[in-house]
This record gives sequence, structure tokens and C-alpha cells, in this order.
Amino acid sequence: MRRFELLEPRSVGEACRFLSEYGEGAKLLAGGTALVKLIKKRLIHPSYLVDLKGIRELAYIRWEEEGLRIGALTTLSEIEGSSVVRGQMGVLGEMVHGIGSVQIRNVGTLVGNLCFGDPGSDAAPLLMVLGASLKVASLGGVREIPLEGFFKDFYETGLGEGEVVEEIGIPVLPERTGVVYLRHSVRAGFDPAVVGVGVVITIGGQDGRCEEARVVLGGVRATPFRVEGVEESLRGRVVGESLIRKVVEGALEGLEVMQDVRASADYRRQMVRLYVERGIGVAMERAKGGRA
Amino acid sequence: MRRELKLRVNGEDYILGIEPHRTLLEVIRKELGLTGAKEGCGGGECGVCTVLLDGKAVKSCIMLAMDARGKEIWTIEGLARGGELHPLQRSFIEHGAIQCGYCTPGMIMSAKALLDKKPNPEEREIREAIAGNFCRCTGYLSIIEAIQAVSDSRKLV
Repeated sequence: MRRFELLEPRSVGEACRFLSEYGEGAKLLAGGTALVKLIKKRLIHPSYLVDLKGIRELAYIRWEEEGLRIGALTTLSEIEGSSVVRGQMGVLGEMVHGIGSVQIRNVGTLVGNLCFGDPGSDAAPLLMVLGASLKVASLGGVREIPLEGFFKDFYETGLGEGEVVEEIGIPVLPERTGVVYLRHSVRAGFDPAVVGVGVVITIGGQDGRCEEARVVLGGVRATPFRVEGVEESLRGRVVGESLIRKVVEGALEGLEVMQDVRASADYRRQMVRLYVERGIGVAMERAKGGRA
Repeated sequence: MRRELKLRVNGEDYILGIEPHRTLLEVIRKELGLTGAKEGCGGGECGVCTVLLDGKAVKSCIMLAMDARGKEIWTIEGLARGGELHPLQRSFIEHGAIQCGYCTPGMIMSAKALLDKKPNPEEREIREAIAGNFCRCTGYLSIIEAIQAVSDSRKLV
């Protein structure tokens, strides 16, 4: 592996200082499962790595009034095994369990996964549909970036120079809300998703009609995106199986999707339709059962 | 620039001077001469570099050695005691779960991480625990049987 210097800040402020000082030549290291691989494969050539691992107070999972907060150093395994996550936001644990292998989850972090900006990330569409946002520190202070709008292009995010993500916050869901994340990959296991779909549905009234719906697709284009056409056609309606099929078919017609080694555009479009349908069905069931 | 690195590997303490771009796997193999863990894909997919770090299975080929500072590491070389193979090693042999042997050290370390945490796992849990370890002779079924046999018979040290 090409040589680099390892910088070991003791605080987030110091990490921001290192990043500002060394600019483009410096990269942040959290778990490192993606970063070290990129350096080994000679895809990036940083001169400095700013290792966050010494800032242990960045590893936490907290459930507070506003919702769930997860620190930048919290590993995927810690999230998967957390009783707080299981109790308050089971869907997050389910999704995380599907990422990589045990060995990767023991080291990789959720925040790192998002900051990598991989179009095949499973975390990105689910957290986006959940309305999550990032708490980002820099020498100038702290700002919050909603995940929706954070992803700019393949492996590109809205993080500026000298910025460090401290945590991700996921707001509390309303009552009678169902959430699901479904993914399709060519092989089971850790093959990047051909399509990943996150669905949040809130129902209300005596007839359980859909009050709010959010649908986000990942793995389909360079960045995850909301499918507003589907969302709009669900709102205010009593959602049954035949409506789902009709709505989804109509709203997804002509959807622009990418093609790559894993799927042709046509196959991907068909899988998108199928998984959006299934996702809405499961989210509806969960909303009725009152389970996130 | 070389940095000081303290490691505890298979119960022995080491103080090394290493450059920060070295992976944990390189240090284990080249500095300590423990060649059980191997470099396969080199990108954290195939699992032949699996070692235990504070009891958890990790892929040492994509981990910086410096990030293992002060941690307790176990490799396949640390399992046998006084010339006696570890029950997992014996079981792999008895069940024909080794063929070319390349994946075996990683497979066994992944299995050990699981059984140390959960001595009687379900078959599904065994499959998930070794999902990050590739066997290209494809003896997956015999590997699963070998792990099951140990989990049934005794609690691991």
C-alpha cells in the first residue's frame, strides 16, 4: 500500500483542523473497511489519514425525545446488536444485518457507509426515507445536513472541506407508521443491490387510509432519490393490493434507471416495480400492526 | 515514519516499530511470521485473512495495523494447545471440511468467534457467521457440519 501519514486527533475540533490544514490530501478514517480498500486498490492516494478511532466518545447509540442518535464511530455490529435499536427502530437493525459480512460489520460504521456515497449503499435509501440528518462539525461550527440532498453523485457527497460528520439523527416516527427496507441482488449475501427500496407509510382515520407516504430508491441511479409520483398517488387513499399495482405501474412508467454489470436497464426497471410494490405492501401491514 | 505498536497476539505481547500504512495482515505475516492468515482478494471479501480482534472476527487485510493497537488478537496458530488440536480443527479434519486448505484458517476463526459468543447456534447462524469466508473447493456443507459437531459436543475454551 502507498505510504501515508496517520494523524490521530483527540477531539472532533482537532480532526477538523487537520482536515482544513491538509485539504484534499487528507481523508477521514473511521472503520476503514471502504477507505483502506480504496487505497490498496490504488483508487485514491491520500497523503494523510485522519484517524477518528481515538475519539471514543463518537461511539454511541442514544434514544432521546427527538429520536435515535448514532455516533460516527458506532459500528454496524453495535447497531445490529443494540437493544435500543431493536426496540425503537427495528427496521434499522434489519437493514444493517444485511450489509457485508460479519467481519465487515464488526469494523465498518454506519456514518462511514453514508459518507462513502456508494450508489449501492443499503443504508442510504433507508435513512433517507426515515428523514435522517447528519450533524456535521467544522472549524466554523456545527451544521445539520438532511440526508435528502446530501448525495451528489457516484461517491460524492455534500460534505465540504474540513467537515467531520459527528452523528446521524433519525427522528421519531408518528403513530401508525410502517417502515420497511427491501433489497434485490443477483446473489444473496453481500452483493450490491440492483434495487433497494425504503418505504415509510403513516395511516390514519377509521378506514386506515394513507396519510403520508415516502418512497426512496437506492442502487438505481448514482444517488438515492424519492419517487414522488408513487408517494402522491398513495396519499389520502385506502391502499389495497390492486391499488398498489395500478399506482406503482403508472407512476414508475419511463423511470430513468442506470444499467451496469449487475442489471440491464430493463431488468432493473422491472425489479424496481416489483420491489416498490412489495415494499408498499409490507409498510402498510406494519403500519396497521403499529410496528416500525 | 515508524510508529510504536503494541499488540497481544495469541497470548504473547509484542512491541513493534511499523509504518502506519501497513495492514494488520502484513504485520502478522511479515513481522510476526504467522502465515496462517492469508491475503486472498486483498479487498475484504474472501475472508482468508480473518483473525479475531478482541473476540470479534475482522478482515485483517483491510485493517491498518495501527488500528489494532492495544488489542488482543488471535490467529489460527494460537488455537492448538500443547500439541493438541483445537476441537474445531479436529472437527474440520474429521468431517472432511478441508480440501486445499486455503480458506481453513479464516473459516475456523470465523467459526470460533461465533461459538465463543454462542456455543449452540442454529444452522442459519453458522451460515451467516461464515458468509464472509469463501471456499472455492466448495465444501460448505461439510464445513457447516464440522462447526455444528463442535457446538453440539462441548463448550469452547
